[in-house]
Amino acid sequence: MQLKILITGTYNAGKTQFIQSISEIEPVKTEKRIVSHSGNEKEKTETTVAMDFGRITIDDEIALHLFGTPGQDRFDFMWEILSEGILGYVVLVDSSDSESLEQTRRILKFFECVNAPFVVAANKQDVEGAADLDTIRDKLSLPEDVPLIPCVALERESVKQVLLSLLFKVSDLLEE
Amino acid sequence: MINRESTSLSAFFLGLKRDTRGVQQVFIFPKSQEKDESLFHRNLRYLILALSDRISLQQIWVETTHSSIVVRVTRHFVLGAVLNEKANLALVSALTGRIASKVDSYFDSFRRTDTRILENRIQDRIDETMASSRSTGTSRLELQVDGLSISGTVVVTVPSQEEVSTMKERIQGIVEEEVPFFCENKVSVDIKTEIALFRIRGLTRQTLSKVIQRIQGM
Repeated sequence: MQLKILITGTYNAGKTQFIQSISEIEPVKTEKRIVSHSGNEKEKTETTVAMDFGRITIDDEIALHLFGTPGQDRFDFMWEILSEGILGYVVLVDSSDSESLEQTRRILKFFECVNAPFVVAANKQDVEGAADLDTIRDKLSLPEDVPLIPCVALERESVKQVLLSLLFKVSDLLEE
Repeated sequence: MINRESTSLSAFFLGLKRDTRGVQQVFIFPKSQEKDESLFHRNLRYLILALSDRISLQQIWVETTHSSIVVRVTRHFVLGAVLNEKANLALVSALTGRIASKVDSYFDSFRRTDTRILENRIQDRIDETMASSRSTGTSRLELQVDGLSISGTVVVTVPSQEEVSTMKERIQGIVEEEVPFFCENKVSVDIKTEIALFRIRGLTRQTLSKVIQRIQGM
């Protein structure tokens, strides 16, 4: 049995890194170089154009697959395809970028129609000046029952906490 | 058995109602049944009753300056249409004549029909509709026939709130086409949404516990 969790979020929110931190296999990435004219060395140089894929083997029969969506608007047709049959999804937010918060609202709206459990992970909490959870919840107009978890996608322990939060939510729904 | 002929007759009636230029209203009601009828139906029935004493009545045309009413009288039914000046009288006459010539045999065959046949036809069409959309929901329906009215509920489950209104419109269209046009359609359509994970085959709490334990142990 293959279970599937979707990792979504805006461009540069850290989806590829999130999968990389927890996947037991080297994640399958579909990254392309970005042509940038800004000359900013810290700027992201590659972006996902189809999906990222990671896997966690549960036992001989069960595997958990992690699919990362492309973050750029022009690839949003992939979101619908990738959301088919998911257990739930994680919406990653770049806490250090206020523009990302605005764009996340559109992603949240899109995924409403998927009707699956989800959590929001406030990534890049280790970056100086990152928005705190209250600000993020407020800016995204997130209801209190939607879990909002601080996250640093570079750290496996942090990624684990996000996934567990989603899995506990799924578990609650199954119990109901 | 509801045959191909009866289905095409239903399509004729729906075509007269929806697609024929100048047709403002169509009506059909049983000659013998008096309950739940409107003032229009009652007056028409009295007129037909009064005239039938004197002549063998098949068709009545009532014409005014800007509109007209065509009425066809069959063994079991009174049917017709209210028209405005845009209507093509010859076309409407042909359509109502076609329906009138077949409706009694259609009605006789309907009375011999098992409700399950009608349920199966509706179920098949709902399944086709759902298969052709992104929706992978489920459906359930139960119908009861009481004289010339069909009641019951069609429950369809779709994966998202966004699909509710479109799906409801489609299912209502199917029901309207499949319920014989001379029957009062009292079938309600209920569209529910289902959380996506309940459609994952084989997903149990035990499976999920294994996943949680594995992640915790990483």
